[in-house]
Amino acid sequence: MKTKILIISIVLFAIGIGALLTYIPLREQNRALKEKVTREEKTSGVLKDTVRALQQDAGQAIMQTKTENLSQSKTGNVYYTYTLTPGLPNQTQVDIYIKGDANTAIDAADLVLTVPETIQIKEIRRGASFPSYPRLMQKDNALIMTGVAVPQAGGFAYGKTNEVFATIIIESGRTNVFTVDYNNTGVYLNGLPILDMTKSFREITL
Amino acid sequence: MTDDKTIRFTFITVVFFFFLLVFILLVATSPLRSRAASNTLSLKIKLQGVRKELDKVKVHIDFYDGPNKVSEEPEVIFTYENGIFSGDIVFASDFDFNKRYALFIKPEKHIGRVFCNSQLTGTQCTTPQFFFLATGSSYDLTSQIFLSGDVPPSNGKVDAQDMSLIMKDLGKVSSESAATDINSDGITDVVDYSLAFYSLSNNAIDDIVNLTAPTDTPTPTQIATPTATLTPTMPATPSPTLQPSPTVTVVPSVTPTPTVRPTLTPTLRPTISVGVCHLKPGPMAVSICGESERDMPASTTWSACQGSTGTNPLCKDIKVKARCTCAPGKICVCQLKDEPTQTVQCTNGGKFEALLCE
Repeated sequence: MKTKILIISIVLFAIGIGALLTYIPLREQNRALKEKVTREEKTSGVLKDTVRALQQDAGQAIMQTKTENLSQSKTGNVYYTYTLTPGLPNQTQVDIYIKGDANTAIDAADLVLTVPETIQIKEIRRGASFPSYPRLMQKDNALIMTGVAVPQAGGFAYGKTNEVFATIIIESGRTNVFTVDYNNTGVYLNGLPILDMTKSFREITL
Repeated sequence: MTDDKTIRFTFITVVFFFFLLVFILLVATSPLRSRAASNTLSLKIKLQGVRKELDKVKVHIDFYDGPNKVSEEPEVIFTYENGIFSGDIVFASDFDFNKRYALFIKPEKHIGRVFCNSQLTGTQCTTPQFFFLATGSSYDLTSQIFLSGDVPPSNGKVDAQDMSLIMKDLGKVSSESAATDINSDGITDVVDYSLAFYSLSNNAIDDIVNLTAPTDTPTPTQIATPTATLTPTMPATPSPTLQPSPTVTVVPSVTPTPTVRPTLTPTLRPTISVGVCHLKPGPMAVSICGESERDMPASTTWSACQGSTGTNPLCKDIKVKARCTCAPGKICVCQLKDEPTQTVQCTNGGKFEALLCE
């Protein structure tokens, strides 16, 4: 019986020692990790504040530049017009303009035309009214044209009125009509539509 | 107890406690499993742009079993970790696990995509193929990137209005993610502009949901069907090979397929309705309905009304609606807000019943 108790005591003692041996390094590791996390949180907090401050500065600078840029511009309504110029045999050049008061600023403009199947689009050229044209493409029977303003060093390059928005070279042997898809057409400034659809053309008759 | 027995007893006890300790240590230190929990669908998606760790994004998810939308999760929160957003959806108690599904996933400020399986998406996705388990399912949809730029009010595409909204907010700093802060870094800046610009130049629009019902159902019962035509032979041939009881239960399980068909067919395939309304302020709004203008009288009187209808999730937040009746068979949904012009495009194929108040 004595031996039995002795052995069980030894086993329990061994387990206790083992548990301690496992627990102590883990506790140390835990403490070190906690310290590390606290340090990193502190650094991260400082960095976050710095980033936030930098963002505030940058944001204010952008806002100020934008306000200055827009203060020199008008914000009236604009509309699309077009002119036709005959070119090579069976070819017609369509110049599409964005018209409006002089110095009117534009953020972005979409123009979507529905193209008849009998027409072949030879070329879509960007105009001068926007500094950038991310979309000048034909997709199925739609001609999609988008011009956008561009933020650039020292200010913003907005879209301008009374300039060519885009030029389309069309090959067509007979009378055809393009219609404007007003569901997908619009001109915007500050997120608001400024396209006067009553003045804009509804279709282009070749 | 003899010495031998004592030694054996000690040995077994020590070994037992050793393994017990090892087991406890293993359990305590093992990382959390990423296995999908029971009754949960875990999804992984990839969004355009770089985010900071633990960023969150709201994602709208629709479940389709064919042309029908069977359920929707309007705001599932996905969390960004190691370049991937992960989120969990808990299935409703009445969710039918015997069907195959397709998912339409639209993260906030992003373009929506339809998935038939992990790889099959967009126009290639025509038949639902996802099969979910009641014990939990997990799908990695990171093979496709969700393009961004469809900022609120979302219209299913990235267009000039989105660019204009971003331009308007450029420089805006906000502790909470602003509508135009696409990458949720606290400021609407050129990064957000560039993200939208990229999507715009790729003519990014929501995937159009154009699904047909799967011809088979993934129920184990169906696999077990050694064709329903075998049943009549059963009484004639009482051979032991035809005994398997599944056939008896299978026969009724096959019948639902035809009964489902009628509900899936024509009228529930809505065409996309797009409406542009030019409104004069006031309770009575005079409207010209975009594309259909030529088909209608010079002016049509519209009644704006307060209400909330429709099952289309894209339109769920619209509080004021009008119904376009200018073109027969076409439904234009007009979102009437303070702006003089609004466009609403219901692109995910959901059937939209606008409320008409006259």
